[in-house]
Amino acid sequence: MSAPAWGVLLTALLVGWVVLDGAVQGVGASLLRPGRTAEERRLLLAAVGPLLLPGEVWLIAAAGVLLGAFPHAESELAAAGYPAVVALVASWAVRDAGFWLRSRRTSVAWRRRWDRAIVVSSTLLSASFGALLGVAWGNAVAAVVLAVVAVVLAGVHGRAVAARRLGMTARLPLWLTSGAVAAPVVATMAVAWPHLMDGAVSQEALRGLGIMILAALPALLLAQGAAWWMVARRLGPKDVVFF
Amino acid sequence: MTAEDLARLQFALLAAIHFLFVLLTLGLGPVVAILGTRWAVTGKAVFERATRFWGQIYLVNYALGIAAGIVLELQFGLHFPGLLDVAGEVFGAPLAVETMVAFFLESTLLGLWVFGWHLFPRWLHATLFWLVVLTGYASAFTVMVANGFLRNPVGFELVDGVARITDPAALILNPAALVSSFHVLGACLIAGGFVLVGVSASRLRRHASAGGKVSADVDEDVWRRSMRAGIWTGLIGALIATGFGYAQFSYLDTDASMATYPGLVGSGWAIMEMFANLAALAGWVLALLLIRNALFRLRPGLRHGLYRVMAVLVPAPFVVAILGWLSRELGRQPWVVTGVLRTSDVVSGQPASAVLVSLVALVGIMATLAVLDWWVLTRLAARGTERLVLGAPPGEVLRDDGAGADVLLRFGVGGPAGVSGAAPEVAR
Repeated sequence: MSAPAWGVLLTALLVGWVVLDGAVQGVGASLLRPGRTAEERRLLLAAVGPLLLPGEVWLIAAAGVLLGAFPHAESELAAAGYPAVVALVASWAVRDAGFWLRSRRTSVAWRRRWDRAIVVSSTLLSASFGALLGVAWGNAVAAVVLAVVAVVLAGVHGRAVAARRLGMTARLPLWLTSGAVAAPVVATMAVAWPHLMDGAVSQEALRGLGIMILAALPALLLAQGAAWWMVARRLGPKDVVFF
Repeated sequence: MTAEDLARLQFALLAAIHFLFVLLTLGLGPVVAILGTRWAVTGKAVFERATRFWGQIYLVNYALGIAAGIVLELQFGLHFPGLLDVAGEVFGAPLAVETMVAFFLESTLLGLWVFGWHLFPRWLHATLFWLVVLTGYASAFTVMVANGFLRNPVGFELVDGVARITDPAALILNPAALVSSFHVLGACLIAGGFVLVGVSASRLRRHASAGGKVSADVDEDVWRRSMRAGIWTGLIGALIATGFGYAQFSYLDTDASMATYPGLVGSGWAIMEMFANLAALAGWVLALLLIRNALFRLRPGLRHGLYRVMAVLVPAPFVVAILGWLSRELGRQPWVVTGVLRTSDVVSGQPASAVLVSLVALVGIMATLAVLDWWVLTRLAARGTERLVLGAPPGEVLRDDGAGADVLLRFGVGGPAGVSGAAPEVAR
């Protein structure tokens, strides 16, 4: 695999993350919207729950591509966007802990506190990722604008996914919200492309890594496909309510 | 403290937190896989309960393991960019394989295992967890390949100050990766064994069955089987950890390892050795006591005293493993890549104040989440097999949660809460 192929893979991984994990973030951020009952909150978490594990791995894999194929881009991005990276990982950790721990106790106060933590961390997670995209554009205005855009789009997208799983009518179709959350990622990659290609590791290393990835691709796609099939279904008696 | 000290301290604390969760994930994984397989094959209730109980413990532990791992992965770019600039190609390659293949698959498959509980046939469901264990071990191994390169750099050459891979096989078969991986695997199994034994012991203490006779109660059977599994897991782990622990001296330079932090590294080694020997000895004795269930038929006073000791000792292997990891990493200093690159040459240009802020924020958050997670784990352990959420029908979970009749109907459950007989999973 050549450097451009790795760039395309990086884009695909980032798009996969905003589409899959974006829905989890959007629903998480909306959890305490006025008028929601405890029962509705639990159903919302159950609706996007199966997306959490197969979704967040896409950004971890994207970070792996940066590390393995474009290490210079990774260190430059981390240096320029230091606060955004710290906010991203911190909010990510809190969001995950919120999902896993929230429903492990029945106490109302315990759940209420975790619900608040999920709302704040989900919003911050979308925002810090958007801001990091803006850092790649190389200016502060882009960072602020993309942070806001990311939060809004994740909210709309989350609602569309939840509506599908819970059998409600959606305001916007899922393909449209998926395209919308992906758009800022694709635009950013286009802008940062020449700079990204400059920082790639040697041809041999890219080829060696590429063989490993291509060999594993069928298994990766099969597992992900099964996960999507699970989530594409209406939430029902055969599902698991864990979160 | 300088920015370098703070960056190293931050990495060390975050890595230690991550490692504590990894130990249990890798140590408990094979046991959950075996329990799940036995359930699929025999269909017995005792295996179903055991799979669901230990699976739930595995999951709640795994959740924080991922979170801590994510925080850790981005530390290189944040604080040690020089490592990526010089050795990114060599050091980054195994980590890229880890995130893109091993961990990617592990997490996706675990999601299928949890949320496909009622969707897939039993045999496929059991197979999924074996694949989770396999990919989890592969993931740990790739991390050890990266770490092994730092400790014992092989299979590369420096071209214009940048490391290039010349021999991938040497990189993978590096004893600092291969031998040390087995050593860590042993440590993980010991930790898994201690948790299995400790939790089972504290549950068995609550069962009143008098000595001399072993009761046929299903719940009690879950804990006796878990105790057996734990004793074997811990014993096998102790033997592996000891054997491959000594084998590491084939590539370790003892004098160099002791050069920078002689006290810490030296006592770390001594404590590990003592602990592993004691664990193996206790493992043999307990394994002998499993013959004809002798352990469960000891005089009540003696038995309950032994159970109490087992429960108290649960944190021990985790403390020792942290010491072992500290000995390894401190033994490499002042190098980040032994003989090639100094730690002081790779730290980022961030001011000390910025590194301090991120240290307080990230370590503060991760430590808080870790403590909450361990607290929840102890509560889940104390609840035993009562009201297990993992693998429960969704209607039952929602009913326990107080959901309304219309929702319950959609999930195939009729009647208001508590009427149609309590959940089937009621212990004793």
